[in-house]
Amino acid sequence: MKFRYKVLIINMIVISIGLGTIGYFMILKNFNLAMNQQIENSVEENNLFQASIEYELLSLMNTDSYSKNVLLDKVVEGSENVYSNLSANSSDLCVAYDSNIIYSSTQELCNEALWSTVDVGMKNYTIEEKDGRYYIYVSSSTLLMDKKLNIINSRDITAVYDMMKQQSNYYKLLLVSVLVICSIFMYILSTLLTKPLESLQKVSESFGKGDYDARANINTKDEIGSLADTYNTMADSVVEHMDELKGMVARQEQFVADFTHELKTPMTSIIGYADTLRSREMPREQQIMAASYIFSEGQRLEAMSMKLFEFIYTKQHSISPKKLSIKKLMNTVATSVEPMLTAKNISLELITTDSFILGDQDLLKSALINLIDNGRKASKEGSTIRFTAKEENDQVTITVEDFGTGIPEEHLSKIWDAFYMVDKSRSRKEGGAGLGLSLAALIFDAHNATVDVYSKTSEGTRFAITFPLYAEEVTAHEEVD
Amino acid sequence: MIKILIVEDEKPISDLIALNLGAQGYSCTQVYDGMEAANLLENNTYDLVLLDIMLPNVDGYELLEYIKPLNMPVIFITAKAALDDRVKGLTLGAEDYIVKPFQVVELLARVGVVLRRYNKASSELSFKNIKINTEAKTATRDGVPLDLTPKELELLALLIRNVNITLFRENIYETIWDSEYSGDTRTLDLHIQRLRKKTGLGKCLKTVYGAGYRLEDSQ
Repeated sequence: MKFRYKVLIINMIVISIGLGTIGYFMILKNFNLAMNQQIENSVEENNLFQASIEYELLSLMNTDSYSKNVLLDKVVEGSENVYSNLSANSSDLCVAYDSNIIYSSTQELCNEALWSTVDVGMKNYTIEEKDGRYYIYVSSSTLLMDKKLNIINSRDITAVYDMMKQQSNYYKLLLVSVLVICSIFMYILSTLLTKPLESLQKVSESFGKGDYDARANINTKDEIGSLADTYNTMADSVVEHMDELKGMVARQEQFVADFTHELKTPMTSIIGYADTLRSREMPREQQIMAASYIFSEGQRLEAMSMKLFEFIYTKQHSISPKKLSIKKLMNTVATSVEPMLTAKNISLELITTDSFILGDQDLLKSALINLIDNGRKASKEGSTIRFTAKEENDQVTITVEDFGTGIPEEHLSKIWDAFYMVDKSRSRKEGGAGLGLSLAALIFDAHNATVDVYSKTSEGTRFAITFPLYAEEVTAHEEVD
Repeated sequence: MIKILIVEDEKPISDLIALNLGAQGYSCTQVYDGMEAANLLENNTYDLVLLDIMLPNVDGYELLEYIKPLNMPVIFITAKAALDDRVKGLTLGAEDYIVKPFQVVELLARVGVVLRRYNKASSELSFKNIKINTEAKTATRDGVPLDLTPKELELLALLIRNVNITLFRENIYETIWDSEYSGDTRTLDLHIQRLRKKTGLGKCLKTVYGAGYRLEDSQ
């Protein structure tokens, strides 16, 4: 059931109960007031009848001779007189003596219990219904010659009941109209109130169906508004996460595509030359060329597979960082690169610091060798490569700088991509697979190091890798212990 | 002489294509980047352009747009094997699409098809008094039709295309019968014998011992 219908029904129930109770008590109160008025009137009337009859009797009793029968006749006569004189309205009069009706202006008589039980000097009343009409009977009781004389008057009070009925009917009509009007108002109001909820629901539905741009546009400052805000935040983070995953998949796809391409190039040469060699006789020099290509492309494939293995290994294994001396690290790297640098007559300028970082010696060594090897490939014979370290503000920066060909600006952003080569033919000649820098980037990233590259064509390239220093207070703490 | 431009940044592959096309008598020009190719195309005409897609400076697709108005047929040679790439290459107007790594035979066949489609290479092959129409699949000697089976005709055409070159058994077998060579050369030997008989080329169609066959025009 829709929320707005629930609100509507609850409100209808509450309003009905509220208004119904009020109406009931109001009508009851009115009825009681009118009734009391009628009773009072009847009693007054009874008083009047009683006084008149007693007056008639008193004047008779002042004469000398009277008998019981005369007296009773007088009562009846007096009653007739009084009735004809006084009762111009709807009241009826009835007189009983010694439990016998001696005069009645109407056929309708009240219950005998009323006037037989009333005490002398007291008045009593009763309300009775006859044929759909209501009557009030008031009875007074006096003693006449040691016998009870009851004067009973009756009044038709159906009007009071009719009034109550009318009031209650009118009130019912009123109640229904108010309910209808209130319901319409409530429906409109609850629709307005639940509208944001509905739009939120629509938004989440379309989000669920794949429209990831769908956002709730609700500006109310209530719970729904904050729910919408929370929903939007959630949607944002879902989309962000999804984009991240998509990006990851795209990068993986790109990697595979690049890898296949890189694999296909040497494969084409190897298969093609071998195919040519076996299909026909060729001049000696062509045979040698074909064989050389098969050899060199085979080597390239092998180098690539090694690098790729290293790359995948680094990617899948987390580093095990230890306290590492920058000096020791750089010295090992320098020793490793020495043979290939001397082969090209390149000198290595080494400046180290006594700093310590947290890192994996083997991985960092491989990454730095890659950088120096890149520098070597870019350098001319007899050139220099600067391999320096500098400690500054709780950080240590290792710099690898060559004075070779440099990297053109448009290539700078892509040098970290796997299989990307700035100068393909040169890189191939040097046995590069385009994986060195992406491997280095992976390793530096795992060490929380930041890498900056400065390069200018035909002037050289400088890689600056900044590591956070090894936290000394940990050691100090250990010493205290 | 049919002139072919090879635009391929991988020197080994470029050399491979040039080596094989050269052996077929095509004259090949090799360039290694897109810019260079565009410069050459400005002043020279070629009967066919073999184009790599991933090229430095100007890529293959851009170059194709440049070549199209020059009305030279283009065959893409690329490592991009995805269907989308093939469709893109072909809809852009390339005549064919060869995926690396390719077989030399396949390359030669596709080059031949495109050249014939452009009427650059005649569908007529001739050797001495023998003529073959590769389109109509007919052969004549001195104008008299020869009764050759389709395989015999293909074999003869292959030999005539490689005049004075020794063709190895395995390769001939794989090219003509389109299946892996299994060491049984009797089918091939039988066809060669029948060819010698039917064409009267007994002297020119030499058996190279331990290797294969060679058609020589010196005899």
